[in-house]
Amino acid sequence: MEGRSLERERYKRHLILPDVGEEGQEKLKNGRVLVVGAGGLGSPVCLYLAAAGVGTIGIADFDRVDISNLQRQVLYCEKDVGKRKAEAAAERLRQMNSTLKVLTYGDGVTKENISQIIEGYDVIVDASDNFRTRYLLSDACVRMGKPDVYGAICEFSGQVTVFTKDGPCLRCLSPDEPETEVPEASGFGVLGAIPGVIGCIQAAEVLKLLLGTGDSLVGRMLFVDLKSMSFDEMEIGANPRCTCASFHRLI
Amino acid sequence: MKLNNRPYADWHEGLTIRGVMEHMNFTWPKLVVKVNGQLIWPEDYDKVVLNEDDDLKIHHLLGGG
Repeated sequence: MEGRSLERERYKRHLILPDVGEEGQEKLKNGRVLVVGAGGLGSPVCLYLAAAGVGTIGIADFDRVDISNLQRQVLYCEKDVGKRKAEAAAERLRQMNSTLKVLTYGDGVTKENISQIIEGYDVIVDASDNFRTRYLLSDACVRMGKPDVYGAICEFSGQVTVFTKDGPCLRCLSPDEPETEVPEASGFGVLGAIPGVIGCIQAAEVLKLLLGTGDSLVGRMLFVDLKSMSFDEMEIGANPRCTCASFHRLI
Repeated sequence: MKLNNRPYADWHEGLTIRGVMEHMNFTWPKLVVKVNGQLIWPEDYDKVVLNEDDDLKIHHLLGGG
């Protein structure tokens, strides 16, 4: 089958969606998304973006696959244990969709490289597992005007929002990063399905941002609790006292 | 007063956000707090005095991934 008609067949269920269609699928193909953290959240995010045909996916993670990751990090198989996550994830995505450009950042994101890395992307996904990275990302995204699709989990719970330059950022909600991680990244239990739920919502928010359709989670934080099976949301606004207030055009 | 959409039975004159946190044993170090829709930062948890008809929301801010 010729390339174009194969694409039409592959994305048929997108093409018949009024909010996607050929034009939208082209937007996804031209979309460039950076996923920071290729763990529990990063797994479904990467898989659904790749399946949807997002043309360029960057994966930033410095870690290696551990056998204890396999309980929830569905990007990886037993054969990946010991491999670098960014590389193993990229390999999986290329197997899934050979038409994509997948870039890896095996050093993760740091204060030194963050601006240079995110510059080339349209949307940034925070799928990291620590507040140091989360504040680093949020600050950089505000400074550079990139949407930051934030997802976080613990035990049976998770939360998702979208931070933008014009809306609230992480510092608007909570001005300072904690002195110690809360709790330490690997020190709490996680029901394997919660990063699946939250990561899929993050992927959906990314696709909507690229398509320019629907109501995004900008200005709203969605709370999910799988134990009580409840979804709740809270409106959040940019805080005039935030150190990023000048970027939020509040001052 | 309401806490997370449920009636809060232990309201009293002079009750602060910190007072609710201590009474309800909120020990998580990163919280998102709103009173009547307005975000309150940690430095104000001791200062904000709650009224009998206030709507207080306290959520954990998670960081795991």
